[in-house]
Amino acid sequence: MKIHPHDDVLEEFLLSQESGHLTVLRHLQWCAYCRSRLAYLPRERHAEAKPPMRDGALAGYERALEEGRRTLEEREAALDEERDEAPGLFVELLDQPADQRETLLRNTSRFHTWGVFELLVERSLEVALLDPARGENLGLLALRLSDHLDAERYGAERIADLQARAWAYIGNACRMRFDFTAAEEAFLNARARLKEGTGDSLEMAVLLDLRASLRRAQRRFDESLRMLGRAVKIFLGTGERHRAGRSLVNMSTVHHEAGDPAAGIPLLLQALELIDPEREPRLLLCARHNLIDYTAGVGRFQEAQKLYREARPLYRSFNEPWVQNRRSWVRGKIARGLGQLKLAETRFLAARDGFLKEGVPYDTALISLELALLYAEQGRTAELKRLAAEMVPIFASGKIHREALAALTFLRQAVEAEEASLEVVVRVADFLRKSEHDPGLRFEARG
Amino acid sequence: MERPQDSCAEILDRLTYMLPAVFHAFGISEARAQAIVEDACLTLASKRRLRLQNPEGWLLRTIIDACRRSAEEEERVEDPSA
Repeated sequence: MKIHPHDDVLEEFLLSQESGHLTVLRHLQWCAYCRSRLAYLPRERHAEAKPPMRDGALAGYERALEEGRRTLEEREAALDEERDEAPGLFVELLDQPADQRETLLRNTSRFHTWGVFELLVERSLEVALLDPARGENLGLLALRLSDHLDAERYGAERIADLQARAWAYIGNACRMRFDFTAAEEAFLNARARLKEGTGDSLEMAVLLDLRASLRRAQRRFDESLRMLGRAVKIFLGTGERHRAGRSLVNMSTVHHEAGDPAAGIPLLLQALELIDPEREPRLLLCARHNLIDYTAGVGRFQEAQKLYREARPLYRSFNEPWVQNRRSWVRGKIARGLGQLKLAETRFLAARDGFLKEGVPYDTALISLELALLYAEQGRTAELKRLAAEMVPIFASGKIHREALAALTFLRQAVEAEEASLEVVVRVADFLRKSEHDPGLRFEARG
Repeated sequence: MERPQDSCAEILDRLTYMLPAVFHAFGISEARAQAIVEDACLTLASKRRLRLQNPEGWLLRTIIDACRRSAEEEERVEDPSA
């Protein structure tokens, strides 16, 4: 039907429906997701309409479904058992010296189960957040194990799907340890395995989401945004709202790193509608913190303060230094923007001391620069000098890339020579912010 | 804390009332219908750690996609020029 039906026609249609159908219609009226599902449902066949289903045919399908259900129950029970045994086997495997794990996996059939395979893949992603090299090793172990899985029992296509995910997680771990060549190769392997898989679009979306982070790290922002856009579309189309929310948070980060935090704000607002707080409270915190940070970053300090007040209970539920230091930092930015300079200094100092204590040199350097800006604006040379002296542990850490080190050295020298103008501090601070995500950027001493 | 997940059999149960109409509409034989359901459900079971938010939607979509592919293959066999 290409013409909108008249009100009378619609009314007649509604009145002709049973109450059960009306409930469905009302639901469809408001649920975009279910409306999209209709596209998959059997469509009207103009050429050869099927004859109505006879009772015999219905009974036949019911028998087939009953048989299918029985097989499923048996296989699911077997899988559950494998999953129950997997953590013990995982510990046994990791108790071995690293060079003996592959031999154990190869020679011991107890390990050749789906349960161990998927646990290794899952841990690979989780562990990589704290230790990318270790996460990568777990992913590689998972792949070694998958060579010994019974393809008839588990299904070659299902194995290929999980191999693709393992490669994607390995790619992500390589990206996190800045080996972009290895990451690229791993993602290509993931894509190749997906071609041999079940064709599940969800797996493709998982891969796109992770690969987009590599593109972001490579500063290929347009490609990254395109990949994430595709991932969001797939996730929403398959009812995976939480994952769509996660990809939207990633999209906002891309805009931020590309120097356009304003573009990230509407994406974060959209993400907050989709994220399931019970499933991943940390993602919720991340989205809300970034929203406050970006809002302050574009100079909307009153709004940022309101957002911060709303997020306060959430911050309190993450009483860990990593979160609390960032909380103090963003509060300092808001206070500074609102002209509350003394309060801003207190917040920045709290954040800096926290980062120093935690041994996070880059963030210590960035927050020190925020403080340096405050002091330089107020002409507080003595404090600037003291701050420069306190930056010594950052230099000594060896964890700062050489261009950032060059910029900080330049600033320190200028401060000690009492030649650190506001312009110099602003330039070094800008450089440090940009170079955090682009270690290849070069600091030019003279503007 | 992770919410307990329904078993795949329970998820299948919630779709059972609508699946015969789907198989019939695509002209799927009973034997093929059973194979499609088993394959889709086993794939769902293999992805439980992905913690799908809408496993019913995933299963229905996968079964319908498989029916569509099966019907298209059958049409190609019947009419190789198509």
